[in-house]
Amino acid sequence: MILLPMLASLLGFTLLCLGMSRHQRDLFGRAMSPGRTVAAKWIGWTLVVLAYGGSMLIEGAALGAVYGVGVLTFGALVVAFTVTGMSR
Amino acid sequence: MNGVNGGLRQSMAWLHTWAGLLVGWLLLAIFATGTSAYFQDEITRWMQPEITGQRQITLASERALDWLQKNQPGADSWSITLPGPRAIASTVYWKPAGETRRSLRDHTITLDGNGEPVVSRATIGGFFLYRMHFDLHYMPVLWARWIVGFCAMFMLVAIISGVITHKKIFADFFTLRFGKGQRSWLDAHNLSAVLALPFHAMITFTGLVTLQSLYMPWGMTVAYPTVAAYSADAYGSEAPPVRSGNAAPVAPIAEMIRQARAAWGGAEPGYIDIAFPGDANGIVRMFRGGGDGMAARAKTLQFDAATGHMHPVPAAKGAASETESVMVGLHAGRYAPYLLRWLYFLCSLAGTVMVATGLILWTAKRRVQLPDPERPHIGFRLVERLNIASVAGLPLAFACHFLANRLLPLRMDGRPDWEVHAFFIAWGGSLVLACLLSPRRGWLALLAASTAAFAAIPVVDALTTDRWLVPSLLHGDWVFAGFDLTMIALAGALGFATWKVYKRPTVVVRRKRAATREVSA
Repeated sequence: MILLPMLASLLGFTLLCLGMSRHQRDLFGRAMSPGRTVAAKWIGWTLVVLAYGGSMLIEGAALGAVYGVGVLTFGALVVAFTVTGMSR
Repeated sequence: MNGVNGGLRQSMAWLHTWAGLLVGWLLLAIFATGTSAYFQDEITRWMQPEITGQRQITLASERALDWLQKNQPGADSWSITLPGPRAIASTVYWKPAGETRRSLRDHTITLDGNGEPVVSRATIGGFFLYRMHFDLHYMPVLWARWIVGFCAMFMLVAIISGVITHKKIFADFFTLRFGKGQRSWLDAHNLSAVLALPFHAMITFTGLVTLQSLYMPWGMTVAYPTVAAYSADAYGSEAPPVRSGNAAPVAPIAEMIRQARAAWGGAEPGYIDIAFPGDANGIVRMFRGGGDGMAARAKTLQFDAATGHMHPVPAAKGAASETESVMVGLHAGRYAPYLLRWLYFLCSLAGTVMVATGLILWTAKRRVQLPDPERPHIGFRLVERLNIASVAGLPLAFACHFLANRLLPLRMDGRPDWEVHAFFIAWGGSLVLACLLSPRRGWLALLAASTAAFAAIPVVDALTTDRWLVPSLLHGDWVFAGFDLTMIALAGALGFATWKVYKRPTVVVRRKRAATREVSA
C-alpha cells in the first residue's frame, strides 16, 4: 500500500522538475508553454502533498510521518538522477 | 576567504567550510558505520553462516535456562539476549558467583534458532560497525563519545550554516551536472544534502539526544542525589535483590513471557536477566525488544524468579522521558520494517555522500586558486591526502573487515579482535599509501583496491561457505543473497568511480607544465 504514495512522490517530483525552465530546456531543447508549466507545478505540488498525507493515512500518523519523509526523499533522488542521465 | 566581516551568507559559508572540514574525516566514518548499522542484525547473520533455523523466543529462553541450570547453577546472574525480528541467534551470558566485573567473552554461549548451543566461528558480527558509530575503537568509551558528540555538534552547525549559504535551494533542486569540475562536486554535495535534509537534520539532532545525559547531565544532577536514583525514577529499575540462601528453582519462563506479552500489548521481550537464579530471592527482569513501537528505551517488567509472580507494572513515563525515548528510537530505527529500513539506508547513504563530496569540494575549490598547482601548500596537501585515505580508503576497510570474517582461521585465538584489526589495518594502510603516491595515483589505487575487495566478497563467500549467492537465491534466503548483492552493488559503484578518475584528464596541471616548457625552450 505504501507503494501508492511512492508512486505519487515520483510523479509529483517529475512534474515539479518539468515545471522548471532549466530542465525543460535540458530535456526538450525548448521551453514548455506557460500554461503547461503552471499546470505541471500545481499538479506536482498536489501529488507531493498527497504522497506525504497518503503515507500518514496508510501507516498511521506516527509511522506514516517517518515513511513520508523517506518516500519524498526517494522520489526526489530518483527524479534528480533520471534527469541527469537524460539531459546528457 | 576572510568572510567573517562580509554579509550573513559569507560568514555562514566560512563557518560551513571550516566546521565541515575540521570534523569531516571522522564524520565520514561515523556516517558510514551508522549507515551499515541499520543492517546490523543482517550483517551478524552473514558473519555467522553456521547458524540456521527460525527464531523462537520462548523455546530459546527455555533452552537457555535449561543449559544454564545444568552448567552454571551457582552463578550470580544469568542473562539472555533474545533475537529481534530480523535475527535468529540468542546469546547467553552468566556472571559467576563473587565476580565483580564480568568479562563477557569468557562467559557466553550462542544458541541457534532452535535454542541449541552452536559452535559458530567467533565473530564480532555487525556489533563492531554499530559500536564504532558512537564508541569508535582503541580508546576509552567516554572519550570516544565526547569526540563523536563534538563531531555531531559541528555537523548540526554545518547543516544550519549550509542551508543559509545555499543560494538556490529550489532552483537547483534537481540539478546534477557531470564533468564540470568544481561545479559538479558542488551539485553532488547540494543534491545529497538538500534532498535528504529532513533526515540529516533529524539524525544529527537525535544522535545528540541519545547521549544527552552524558553531554548535559546538569538537570539530572540537580534533581537527583545519585545516578542510581535517577535511573530508578527514569527507567523504573528497582533496588537489586539480596541472596537469601534458600534454594528455589526458577519458575517456568514461558508463563512469564506470556504475561509480559499481555502487559505490552503483544510486544516481545528482547532481553531477560535473572539475578540470583535458583535462590528464593531471585528476580527476573524482562526488557521489551526493539521491534515493536518507535520508543527505544526498553520497558521493563520484574518477576519473582521462584514464583513467577509479576511485580506491579511501572507507571507510564513522563512526556519528556517518552519524547527522548522516541527520538532515540527514531535515530536507531530498530522499529523500522524492511521497506522503511531501506529508506533509512538510502537517506543515510546520501548523508555519507554529502560528507565525502563536501570534503572533495574543499580541495576542488582551492586547487584552481593555488598560486602553483604543481606545489600546493602543506595544508592543501594534508587535506588532499586525508580525503583520499578516508573517502577511498574507508570502503576498503569495510570490505577487509567482511573478508576477514571469511578468511581468518576458524579456530584462531582472538578472532573477533582480528576482524576489527583488519578494518583498521586496511584504513591505516590506505593513509600510508595516500601519503606515498601522487594524489591521482592514490585515488586510483585505493578506489581500484576497494572495488576489487568488495567484488571479492561474494567470490570468497562462495569458496568458503555453502551459503553463497546462488544457493541463497534458490532457497529465497534474502539475508545472505541481499548481503552479497549489496557487496556487488558497492563494487559496481566504486568501479564506476575508479573508471571516472581513470578517464579524467589531468589537463590543468599538464597544460601548464607544457606551456612552461615551451617558454623555457
